[in-house]
Amino acid sequence: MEDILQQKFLEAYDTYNDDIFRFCIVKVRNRDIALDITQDTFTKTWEYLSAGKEIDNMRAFLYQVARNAIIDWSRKKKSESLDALTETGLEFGSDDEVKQTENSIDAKQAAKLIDDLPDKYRDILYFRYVEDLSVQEIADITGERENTVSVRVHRGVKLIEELFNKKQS
Amino acid sequence: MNFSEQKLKEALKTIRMSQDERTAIRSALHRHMTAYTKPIKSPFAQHAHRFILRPMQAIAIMLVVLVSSGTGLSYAASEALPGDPLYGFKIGITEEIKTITMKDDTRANYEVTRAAKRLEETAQLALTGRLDHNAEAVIREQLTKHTEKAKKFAQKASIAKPETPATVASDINSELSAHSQVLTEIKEIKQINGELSGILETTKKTIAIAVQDEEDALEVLAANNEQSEVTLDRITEQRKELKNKLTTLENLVNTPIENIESALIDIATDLETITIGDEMILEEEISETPTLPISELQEVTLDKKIEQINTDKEDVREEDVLIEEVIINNDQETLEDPILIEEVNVDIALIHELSDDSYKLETEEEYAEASAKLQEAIKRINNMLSLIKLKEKYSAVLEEELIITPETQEIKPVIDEVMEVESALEEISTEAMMNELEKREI
Repeated sequence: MEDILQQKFLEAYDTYNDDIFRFCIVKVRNRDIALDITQDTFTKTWEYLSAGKEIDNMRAFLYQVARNAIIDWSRKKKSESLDALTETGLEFGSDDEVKQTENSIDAKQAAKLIDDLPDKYRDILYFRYVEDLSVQEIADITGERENTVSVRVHRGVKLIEELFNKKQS
Repeated sequence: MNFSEQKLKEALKTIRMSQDERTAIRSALHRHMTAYTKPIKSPFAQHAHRFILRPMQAIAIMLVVLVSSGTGLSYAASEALPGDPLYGFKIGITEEIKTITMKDDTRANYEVTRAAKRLEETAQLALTGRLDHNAEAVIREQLTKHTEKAKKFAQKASIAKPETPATVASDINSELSAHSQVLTEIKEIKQINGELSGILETTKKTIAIAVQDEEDALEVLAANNEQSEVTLDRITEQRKELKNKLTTLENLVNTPIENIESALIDIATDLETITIGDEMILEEEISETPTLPISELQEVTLDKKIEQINTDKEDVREEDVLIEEVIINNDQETLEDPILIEEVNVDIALIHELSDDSYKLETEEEYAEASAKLQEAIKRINNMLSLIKLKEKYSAVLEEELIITPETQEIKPVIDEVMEVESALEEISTEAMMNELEKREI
């Protein structure tokens, strides 16, 4: 019984580790902290499972835990600006990072774009378009109403597009 | 290069952990999992607990499980009568085991059946002449126990099925009445008195209680129904009212307050060049005291005018009630309507125009025109304010209702509507923000 649960949870880790890490690094903009929070997210989730509680949607649950961990982290430490971090050598991609082509946005730009959005759009847009979560799942994670999520997704896309075009010109 | 969500996604998807990092966290996690593993609750945990507490019962249960397939101990026990060696086993274990998986309402019915069974046993004993003092005591005790338990579980079940207490009480009445009739006949035929009379007495008492219980339960049920009808009526009424307000709200939302506010900020920005930081503070102040753009020369004359406008503004506030009526008379168009959005833009344009003209204001006439326009804008702001207040008030009422009664499920769609309007408001305000942003860029 224990072993099966452990096995399943490790499988969940193998499936979602990058997703959670990506979410963390876009939000905290520091590779080490993102790694810490990722590990923390999985440990906390295990403790929850291990207490005999059930999780319906593992992916959404992990995001929710990660999101809370990030909120805790940012309360502790006033977030530094992306530029300041870049100067101290922030690396988004790992060693096996895909080389960018001319017609693509690089990861740093993309993260900055997401980062420039007003708070209320940032996570929602990220979940919807980067991670393909359903509106229902996003509503569960953020605690917003589905309706609100839909509207913000819609508005957020327009916003990010305008932001992007502004930066291009 | 054009923007697309796909590109954004592709870019972000390149962010990954390195193999080393991934493995490091995985092994840390694995260590933690092994160290931090609490026993997981098994669905059988509760029964396991019983085994520990009552070993004798545990053995009995195991015996029952072993022989339950046919002619074994539990079968023999099920036929046992008071005074038989297995009778205690029958009522204490065989019958009790069956109750483990029962839901409350099933359990209540089962207890009624058990009470009836006790009377059946009485009849068997009486007919074979084995009804002694001990048997009487056991049966009387069990009879009371079973009916009390039936009542208790019916009460528990009433949360999900409110009618259960009434039906169970009625069942007790009919079951026991039938059996007591048979027993009375046996008593006459067999000429038995004493023990049988005692049991019959207990039965009659139980029936009397059941009759009373049924009446009470029916009363409670009726009261509840009435209560929910009243609640439903009230909710329906509120819903109607709310829907009216919502319609009017939707129709009137054609001038979002944020647009006007930002336009007013523009006016102020033009008047005295302010930093974006100042704007935040100004945004709060501006809604309180809209200032007019004025040239230095006209300052003294225009000051008086501004006073006039402020007085007018107060008047408008006092007319909030009237505005509400106006609102209610308005109808038909919806928020999504592009024409409405267009109208909003025209409004904004007007205010912008006003702010541009302000530098050239030279005559009283020109000023009067500008002030009229501004007054119009203020009026709209006040309209919006009262609408928003209205909406808040009603959604608060609804939230409260939701907690009080389960019937409020009914108003959920209406609340959703309120939320929709809210979201739409938000959308429009964002639109205004974007317009602002664009303008500033230009």
